[in-house]
Amino acid sequence: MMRIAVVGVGNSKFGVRDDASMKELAFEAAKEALEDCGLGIKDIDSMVTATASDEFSFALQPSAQMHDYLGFHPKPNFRVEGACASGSMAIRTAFMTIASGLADVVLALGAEKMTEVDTPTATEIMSKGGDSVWEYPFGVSFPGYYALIAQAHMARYGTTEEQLAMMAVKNHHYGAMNPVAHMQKEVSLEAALSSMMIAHPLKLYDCSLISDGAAAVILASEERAKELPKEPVWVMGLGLGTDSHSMCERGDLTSLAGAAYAAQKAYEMSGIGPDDIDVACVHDCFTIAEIVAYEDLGFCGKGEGGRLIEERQTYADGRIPVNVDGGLKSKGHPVGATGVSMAVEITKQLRGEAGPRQVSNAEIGLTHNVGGSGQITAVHIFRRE
Amino acid sequence: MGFERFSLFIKHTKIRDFVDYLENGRIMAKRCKGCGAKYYPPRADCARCLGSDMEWVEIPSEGKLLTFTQIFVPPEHYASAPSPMPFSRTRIEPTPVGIIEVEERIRIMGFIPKTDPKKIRIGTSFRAAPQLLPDGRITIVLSPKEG
Repeated sequence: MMRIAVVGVGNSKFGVRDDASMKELAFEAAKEALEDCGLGIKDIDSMVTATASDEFSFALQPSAQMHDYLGFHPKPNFRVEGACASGSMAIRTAFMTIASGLADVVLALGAEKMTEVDTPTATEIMSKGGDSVWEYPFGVSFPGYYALIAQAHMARYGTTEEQLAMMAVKNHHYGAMNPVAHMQKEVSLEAALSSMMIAHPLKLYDCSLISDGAAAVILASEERAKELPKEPVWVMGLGLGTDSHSMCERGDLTSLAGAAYAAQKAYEMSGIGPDDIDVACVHDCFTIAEIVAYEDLGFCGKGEGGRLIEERQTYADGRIPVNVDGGLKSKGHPVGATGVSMAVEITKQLRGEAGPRQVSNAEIGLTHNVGGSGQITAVHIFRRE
Repeated sequence: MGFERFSLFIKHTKIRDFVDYLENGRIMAKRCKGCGAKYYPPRADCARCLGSDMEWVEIPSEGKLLTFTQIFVPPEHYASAPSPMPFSRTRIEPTPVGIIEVEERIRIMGFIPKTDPKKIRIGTSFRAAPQLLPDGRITIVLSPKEG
């Protein structure tokens, strides 16, 4: 199969961006990615845009706002969607576009402007990421879905609220070093444990943020990638898995079957295993989600995720550094941008451009991006030569 | 009103009779007459054999609690609950919600009213029952089984 690489990356500042609209945020990210690889918008053959919900953008066709503002027309652009995994759908689609021969250089762009609506409305929109017909009627919010997973995980494996809080401490530790992060501040274990209850047992610091932001990744064929200034970061494996819409129909409430499936497919395609991963960005929309991710990805055995964080094995100097960009927890979670932003961070890590957050000698990286309450998960594996 | 009496959002579905059964006190699943697969939430079409000849079957109402939560920051529909007193912004304690398993792989979600989450234990027995609400909507509640 032909090789395809990430050649340029860009990330807008994440946060409450009441200074900018969605398309203006997308422009910030796209411009940075173009400058990163020395290309102009005229050099891009095709674009793929990820936004999770029209209800944040008040548009039937949010992707049109982006290509219009970038002056990209009349070339191809369309929107892809996979709830909180929409960004990874853009990368997967960009990869497929190049692999099919339809284009050589593709811009994958993700954006969300979540603070355009108030918090109860944002909470409602996000709640529809789960089963809006059979579970939302019970008032289950987005944190609520993961609280159901957390309670089941705690009951079966003895995972503790302290271990969840330790995850928040780690991710805020790294978010404090990341200039694009929404919340650039350290959080103590005591503060995390005593924060306001959101959905029992998840507290404020167990939850990711309602953020605005955009991220952009430019992918290119091997031939084009080798002409560009930065060292290519090769896309080695792409896995995509799904699970039931309703949580009630899941075989195991402590795992995301679609995530385990996606990981297996990405490992098979790349010939890379969990022990080979040097750095990972996983979907910590809630602290429990990062624990479940460790287990679904094979970074540890089932039920051992809590111990992995307790032993600090996922810090930058640990056995398998995870979310050293702050994760969704501290960097923020502008839904459509998140999967693209994970690839931005992994590319920077593999190039050695991650500054104080750099994992030494990182050669192989992984992204794990979950949509909704686990209905869709993408796992992508990247490698520098 | 149609199915939105239960679901809030969706009016039209082939399984709208679910609401009528609820109103008569019964929680129903659908079973495929072709292959026997049973579904809750109910479905009009079988995902196993693609058959559409499905029958309503009542499911047991008792089961063990698999998991639960209590939502303190509710979504829009629950955030705007009217205050019971004029000039008051009384904070209404949110109701816990849980999932029980009544048969292998048949799970029912429901509210667990008037219960302190600290006293709820996963693995204990609950009974599911429909409950008619003052506004005409209908939902399902889970009550701890005595003893």
